[in-house]
Amino acid sequence: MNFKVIENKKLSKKDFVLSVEVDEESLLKRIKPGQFAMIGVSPTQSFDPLLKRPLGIFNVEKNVVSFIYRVYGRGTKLLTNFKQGEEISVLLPLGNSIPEQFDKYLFIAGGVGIGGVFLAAKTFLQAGKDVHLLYGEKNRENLSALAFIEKYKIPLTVFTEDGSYGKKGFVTDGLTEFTDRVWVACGPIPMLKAVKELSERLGVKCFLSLDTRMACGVGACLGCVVKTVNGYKRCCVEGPIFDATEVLL
Amino acid sequence: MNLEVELFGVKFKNPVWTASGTFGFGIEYKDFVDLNKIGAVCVKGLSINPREGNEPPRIWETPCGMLNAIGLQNPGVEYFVEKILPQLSSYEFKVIANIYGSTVDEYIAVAKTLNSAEGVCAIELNISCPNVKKGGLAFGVDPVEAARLTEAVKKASDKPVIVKLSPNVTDIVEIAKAVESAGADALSAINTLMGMAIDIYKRKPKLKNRFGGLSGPAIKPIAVRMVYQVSKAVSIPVIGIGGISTWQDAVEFFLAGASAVQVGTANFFNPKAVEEIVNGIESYMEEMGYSSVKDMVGDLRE
Ligand SMILES: Cc1cc2nc3c(=O)[nH]c(=O)nc-3n(C[C@H](O)[C@H](O)[C@H](O)COP(=O)(O)O)c2cc1C
Ligand code: FES
Repeated sequence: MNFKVIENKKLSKKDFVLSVEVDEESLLKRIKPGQFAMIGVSPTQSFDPLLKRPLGIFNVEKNVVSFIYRVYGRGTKLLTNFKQGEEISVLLPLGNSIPEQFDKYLFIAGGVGIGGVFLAAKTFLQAGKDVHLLYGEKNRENLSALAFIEKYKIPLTVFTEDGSYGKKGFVTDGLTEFTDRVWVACGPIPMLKAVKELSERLGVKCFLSLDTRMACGVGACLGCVVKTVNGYKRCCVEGPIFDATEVLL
Repeated sequence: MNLEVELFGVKFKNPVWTASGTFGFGIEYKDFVDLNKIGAVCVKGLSINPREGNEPPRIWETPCGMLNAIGLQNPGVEYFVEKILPQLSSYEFKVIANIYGSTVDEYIAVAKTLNSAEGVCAIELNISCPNVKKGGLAFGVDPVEAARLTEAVKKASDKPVIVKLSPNVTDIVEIAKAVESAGADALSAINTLMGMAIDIYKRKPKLKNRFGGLSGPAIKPIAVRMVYQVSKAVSIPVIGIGGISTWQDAVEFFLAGASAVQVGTANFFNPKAVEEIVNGIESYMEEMGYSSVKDMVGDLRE
């Protein structure tokens, strides 16, 4: 599917927000918090890089769907070249979603992992649920999503490794205060490992949003599998949201 | 324009199919693709018992291509026949069952299980798999073993048998001739080329399995050459596979001698690839004055 780029804006040194216009009502309605999209990173038809990149659906406002991404490699670098008004090839919505049946949530975001939990935090808060967000980064400059979080008044605790904003330390330092809620975490693997271990030790229900290399994003190639206690599962279909007790990280 | 082709006694609405392992069982793509535009779906490789597949990471992107070492993960042929095949009957595409085994007997068992599966129009033998009885050397690299396997499966199966050739051989023509004499109804070529990529900082292979199969646009010239050589050497139909991403790519294969084509890796980056290729071939045929696909096959001016 091709969508029009509304904006592709730099948020900080390496982070961008990409927004596209989705005019198909039925598609918009299908989007649930925690899902992702496969994004064609080349503005021009090119076979190099070949594959689309998975990005979590960061936000949906009316008919605008946005993604937050950090420039890591060639794919994300190319993505920064998209200009307003250009067409971009995107498959969405993909994957399962964050379970909605609970009343109290703690969302845990490490870096651009905010892209995987922000929509849930916002939507669940608007639905009247009790929501808190822990947002961790290296330093103040990298806190790219801060403005969005403030705009939607999501209850927040920020952690920076250097203490330049919020509390000094790691998001995982803040977890023990919130054992009365369901945890949902998205971020780098070491963080997810720590969250998983702590949730198991404290007996807290916990979900992890995982990110693996993907080729198809729809369950066809079996390239994205995650090791679980029930064998390999496709991150793009049975995931990206997994019960923390199920995955073997 | 009529794109219908009849191969090994089966009528296909068009000669553009999806390649095994790149389109799941077809239904995975139903939200994104009009599945009825596809001539046939070659399903993920089926084995007699379910298989877990390899440990991840299983894929790695390379310039204009990708490496994969999925390890033939699949739910087993019985599950396919009972649970998946019925879901495919409401679509117009033909179903080709790609099968593999680690011994001749395993291949035979899969082929026999499929005899009763009405919705399957043909089987495609993946002979790129390690032959356990021969120290893990692939069936497809030895003309004698490849022929023995083809003959055994032909005997066991009521369906037309397509043999899918491995490009990881010194002389693909020799293998092609051997399986033709053993009774193959058609050939498909090519499977992936064995490759490797290394993470230079971790100083480790990018894939857990070390090696993986290279696919995508990067392999197309090799595939065109092999399809050309094979189709000159045999009289059964050859199905072209390897890097086909646009209608122009597909036409190259037809001119090289392919009677049909399979689209693989392109489905990943462009789920509408098959539909676009079908439309493109149609306009090309009109423009060039071809009235049937058959007329275009092997029509190379040398
Ligand atoms: C992820 C992946 C899985 C594959 N699985 C199978 C398989 O199960 N059986 C098989 O015969 N070929 C398999 N193949 C090979 C393809 O069917 C095809 O022969 C090859 O990818 C070359 O075509 P392409 O360049 O268009 O992808 C697989 C290829 C890929 C990329
Ligand atoms: S990315 Fe292909 S199965 Fe998940």
